[in-house]
Amino acid sequence: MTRAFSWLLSLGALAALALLLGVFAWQSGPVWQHEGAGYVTGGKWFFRQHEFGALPMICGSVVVALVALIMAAPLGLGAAVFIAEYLPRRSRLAVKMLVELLAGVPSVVYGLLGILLLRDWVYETFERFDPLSGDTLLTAGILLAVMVLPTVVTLADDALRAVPATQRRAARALGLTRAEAIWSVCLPQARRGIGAALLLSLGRALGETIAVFLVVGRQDNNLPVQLLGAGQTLTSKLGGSETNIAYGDPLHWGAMMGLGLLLLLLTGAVTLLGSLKGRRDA
Amino acid sequence: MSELILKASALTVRTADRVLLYDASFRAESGRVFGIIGPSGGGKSTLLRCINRLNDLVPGLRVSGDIRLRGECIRTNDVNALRARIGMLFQQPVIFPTSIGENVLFGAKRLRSLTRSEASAVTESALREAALWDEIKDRLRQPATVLSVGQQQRLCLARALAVQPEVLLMDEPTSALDPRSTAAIEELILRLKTSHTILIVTHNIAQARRITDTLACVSIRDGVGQIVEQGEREQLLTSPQTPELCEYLHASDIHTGFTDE
Ligand SMILES: Nc1ncnc2c1ncn2[C@@H]1O[C@H](COP(=O)(O)OP(=O)(O)OP(=O)(O)O)[C@@H](O)[C@H]1O
Ligand SMILES: [Mg+2]
Repeated sequence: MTRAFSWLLSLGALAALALLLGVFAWQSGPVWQHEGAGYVTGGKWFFRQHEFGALPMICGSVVVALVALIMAAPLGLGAAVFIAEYLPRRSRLAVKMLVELLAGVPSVVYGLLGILLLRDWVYETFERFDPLSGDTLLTAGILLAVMVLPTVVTLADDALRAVPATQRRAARALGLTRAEAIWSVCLPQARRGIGAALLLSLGRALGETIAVFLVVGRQDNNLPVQLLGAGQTLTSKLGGSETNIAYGDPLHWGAMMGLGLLLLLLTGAVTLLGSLKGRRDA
Repeated sequence: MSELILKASALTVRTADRVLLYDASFRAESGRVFGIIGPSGGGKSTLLRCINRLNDLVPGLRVSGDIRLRGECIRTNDVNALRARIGMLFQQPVIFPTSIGENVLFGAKRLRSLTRSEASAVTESALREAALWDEIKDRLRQPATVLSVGQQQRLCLARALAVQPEVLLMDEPTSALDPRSTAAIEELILRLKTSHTILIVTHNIAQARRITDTLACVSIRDGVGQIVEQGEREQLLTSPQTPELCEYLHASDIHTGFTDE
């Protein structure tokens, strides 16, 4: 009974997902007809000339999200180990609550903080590389790192706490120090959960819109060859006013919906991978 | 000829609002198996965990009193070095989710770096000591989870032995095992007691009769766990002096249907 019901639910979810993808695929039809594979490999986007190449934005999204992950992963893991293994239970719960609160702060707030604090800091710190402004891919990456950090911390902490206490106790009873027990017992056993935490955070970083929008510079047609340049991501492009302009023109609109489709596929794949990884852990 | 290895005096364990174990004193000698019996919740495990300072890992537990291992106070030493001298088996075998071979060396390889040949020598001798070598010598690379529970418990024993401890603590090591595996462990205890000082918690009076030399009964008296009676095994089992022990033995007799085996 419950089995049949859960199958039904899964089927429903699958159908909804397929419908979503279907709508985006259908709406973006004109641009695929017009550009073919060049839509994802082309580097130029001039909508007045009806030229649509999404590569700079695909790369921008990936680069920005990876920068975020590379910074958030070690920090977040370190914090999770500290919270899960060193903090006494009560402070652990308090810290975790705070961290989860941070995860719930609206992203526009992070974006404003990015403008307020991060932009100038990036500009001044990297002045000798001569950036045009503080609005760069790197700025967006750092901001995203801050934003996904709470997610990494709280999920990795959950993964570590899921390692049975008996395992820790057995390791300590053998004479392993706490650090050795963490290193050779807890982290290996939590690695699936930690992997899932990182993938889910990557998915979140890829999909984040407004905070990136505010600090990435929104420079079209720039392949992200250097992090200290302004760039454009799938989300920052979609969040801009061009989307509203595009609506009247089927081809232009198709190009925008195509970006949506690519974003869906990218975040969907990463998130799916993450939850599959997490599931097998449990 | 037995030598005094472990001497505990006035051992008391408290939480913020309760006394779990009060004023326990005992001596364990080499070549003899020290058994701990008593009703559930009496504090047997708590007592055992004082010896390798495992209670220190539980926040909120305060341990006082004095334990000496070969005359040295266990509090003054490095706790991890202490735990390497005192092996422990739990009620449920705790194996690490790696291969059988890795499990055996889990504690040993951190004490000193082993070359490949040393590692396999340590593995073999530990597994032989735990009477597991012949069963699994061709399967060292397999995950340890494929072993039966009885084999897992012997693997835990091998893992503890690989560290070359002087003292072995066993907290109801056979209560999760079938009769054959239990017999195997008991045989091992009798073999190992010549080279190790063994302290074992057991709920099984017949087992206590088979393998222990000295016995202590830990029970609740005046609301706190205490050693209510201790001494030579036969004397305690045949002529218990305290109401707590009488009651415990009586209850176990009824439970096992007056049989020994
Ligand atoms: N960390 C702890 N905090 C509070 N109370 C505890 C803690 N650990 C154990 N106790 C309590 O101490 C008492 C003794 O526990 P212990 O596990 O030592 O008993 P035991 O004799 O080993 O029992 P069993 O035969 O069931 O294993 C129990 O009442 C238990 O609830
Ligand atoms: Mg117990």
